[in-house]
Amino acid sequence: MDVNVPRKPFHIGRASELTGSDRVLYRFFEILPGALAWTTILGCILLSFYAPLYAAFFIIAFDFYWLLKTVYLSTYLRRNWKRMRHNQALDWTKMLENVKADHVYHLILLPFYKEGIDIVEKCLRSLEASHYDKKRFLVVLATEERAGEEAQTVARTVVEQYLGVFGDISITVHPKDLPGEMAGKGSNIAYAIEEARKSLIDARAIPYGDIIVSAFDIDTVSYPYYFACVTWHFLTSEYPYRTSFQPVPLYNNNMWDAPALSRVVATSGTFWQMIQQERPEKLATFSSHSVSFKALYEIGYWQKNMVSEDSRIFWNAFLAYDGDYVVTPISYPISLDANLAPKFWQTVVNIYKQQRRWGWGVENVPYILFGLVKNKKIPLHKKFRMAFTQLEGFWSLATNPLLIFALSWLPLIIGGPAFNTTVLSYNLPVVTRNLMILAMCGLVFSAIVSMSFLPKRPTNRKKGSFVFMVLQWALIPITITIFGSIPGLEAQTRLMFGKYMGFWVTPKHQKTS
Amino acid sequence: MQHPTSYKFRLAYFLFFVLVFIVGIPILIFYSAGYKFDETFNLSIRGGIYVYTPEPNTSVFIGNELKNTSGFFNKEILVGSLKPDQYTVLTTNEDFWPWTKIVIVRRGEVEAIFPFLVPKVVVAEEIKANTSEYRDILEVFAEKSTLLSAVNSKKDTQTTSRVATSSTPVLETITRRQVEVWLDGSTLFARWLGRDEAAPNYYCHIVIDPNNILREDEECSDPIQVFKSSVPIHTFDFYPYRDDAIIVALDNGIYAIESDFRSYQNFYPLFRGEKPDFRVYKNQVYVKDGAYVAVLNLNN
Repeated sequence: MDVNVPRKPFHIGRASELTGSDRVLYRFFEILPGALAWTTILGCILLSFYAPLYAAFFIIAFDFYWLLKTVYLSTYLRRNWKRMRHNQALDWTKMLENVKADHVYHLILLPFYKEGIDIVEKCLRSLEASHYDKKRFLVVLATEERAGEEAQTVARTVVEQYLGVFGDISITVHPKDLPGEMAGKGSNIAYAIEEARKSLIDARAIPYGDIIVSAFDIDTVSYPYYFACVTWHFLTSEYPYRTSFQPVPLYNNNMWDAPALSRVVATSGTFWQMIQQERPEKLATFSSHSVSFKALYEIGYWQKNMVSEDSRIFWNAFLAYDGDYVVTPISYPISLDANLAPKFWQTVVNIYKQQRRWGWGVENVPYILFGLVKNKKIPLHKKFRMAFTQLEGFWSLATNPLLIFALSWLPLIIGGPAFNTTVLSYNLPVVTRNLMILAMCGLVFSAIVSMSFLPKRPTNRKKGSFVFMVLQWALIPITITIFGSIPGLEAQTRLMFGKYMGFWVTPKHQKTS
Repeated sequence: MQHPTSYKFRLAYFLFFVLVFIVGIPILIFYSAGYKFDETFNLSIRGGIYVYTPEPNTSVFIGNELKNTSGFFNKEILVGSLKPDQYTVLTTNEDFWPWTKIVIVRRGEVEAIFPFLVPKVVVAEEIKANTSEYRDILEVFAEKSTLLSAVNSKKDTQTTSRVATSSTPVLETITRRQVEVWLDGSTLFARWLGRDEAAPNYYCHIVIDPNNILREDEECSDPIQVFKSSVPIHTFDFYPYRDDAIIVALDNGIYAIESDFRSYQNFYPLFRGEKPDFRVYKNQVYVKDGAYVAVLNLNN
């Protein structure tokens, strides 16, 4: 593996930042995911109308594919569940006794907008409770000037509480409206880390290679051995500066307060991350994760001109290091908040917006494809695999649930009376229903796994509440269509038409009992 | 410390699923299209019969063999894997007259049938004279009879006039959805007004070819003779909610008859009287025999 200084960071946010043929190519790649999704959907509709027989064949084949995919992926879910439980049971501080770890520092970035003091305190309390030498924690509360004085007061109050607990705790204030920046987490933490480099790292002459950066969301609650676990992986990795360390995000901070819809959507996201943890070559960084400072410094930190900075940082590194960059799945959890607003409908809207923002991760596709075309050092097979994985992933997100739950009836509705007299038309709903029932059997396992993530039942919750935690999985057909497919399709359609999205901060709300 | 699933395992596992997909798809598609192995292990395409039974506890027999009995929720019975042939379908229900029909099952097609179930005992609930309901119903009867009534009457069925083809100068025509029915002399005719491919089979001139997968080149717009009476038909109208059954008032009673004239054409008595008349109003059948007015309970 080449460990020299990487090529110049490539921080393109959208086609309009390029010129000439590059701009045309990038724009083409922006259109591609949406075009694939819409071609599939419209193709299905047209096929159902003009050739319902073939549409029915396609639907049956697709449902069978879906069933096999469900079984296939659930195997990885089960394996990762087992591995995560094993990793949670390990004493990682003992594991660290076998390696030299005293030189490692943790720079913990906590981007903060207008969240309440209770949320910030909860995050810091979990850091304080870590089984790790806290004097090696450099905590940065990365605030936004645009959030106003109230947010600064919260930040100062919290920092005062934790003075002396960590090696350092400080506040950065990201100035608003800096040229070339989009307001959001990426620009905030990119600013914060550079400030930290000057005032904390260089001031203490800490070697860049000895620092692991954890870029957390402010609602992240780290488990006690998280930092020991990351450190162990960092120190035992063959190429510690060519890898990011990805935990499993569990959205269970407020699981007992969030409505069923929110719980199912959030846990589905967790399951997807668990599945990907078993297939590391398909894994990109997501949400809260850790990475070496050295790599971050070399690739110019996070992009400031786009939304999905959490996954983009992996692709930045992947292209900058000519494909020699991976994600190490650590199969150790961190906790975050599931969507919760004071009112149910606001929660529903927030879930949709959050899923749309995650779906906007499709903005990485043109970046990756363009980068793969331009980079001549990445092996061709790796380029194809990466391109296919990304395109297939976003295509599946936007189309598969719609094909399964909404469009599979189309031949019966618009196929015409000639088709409706065929045996196939009568068997279509029966066969698809049976295939889906088999696929849904996997939900029983999902329910079991999700129960294992549940925090202790609060005293104000009845024992019967557990029943709803199981029954909630019946919502899956709705959640993956309305809060998976549709926001994903919207994001891809926006990108296709050049209607770029800005950063939407998920409001954090916690019920007080 | 456990490691992620090995690449070797994942590759083997993936290839296994690819194999299952490749093997499974043709099986599923052939099965769904109606293909089955016969006794000699030859693959042949089958057909089926779909029976919609609105009344629960209706048993469906095909060729004297009980296939299924409907329940409160499962009102649709699909009998698949039938060899292309002619089948006698019989539906029985203890409260309704048996209904039977000979249907032809063709390759790859399902014959959909909607049994015309009429109660064995049709209760006539008398409407007392000098009540407002009685007066309202008399108004309905006061309108011209079906044979003479005009468009925009109070009745459920749209009525128009048509040019006669035989002795009667002006013939009255009633229309419901895509079906037109008229009386010429003492013979009832019906005609399909919709697209040929949506027409029930009995409207179409079809050469029965069990090898046809889909119907093509059919003519379904010619009139069919529904019923030829030896006594005068005084009134006729569609049976409530159906366009494939007609109610007729003859000299001594009121009868329901289905439009499907193929064997067997089912014919049921609804009411017997001196010289009864009827009107279908708000999907209820009202009868009048002299001063006696009643509503027929057809739902049992």
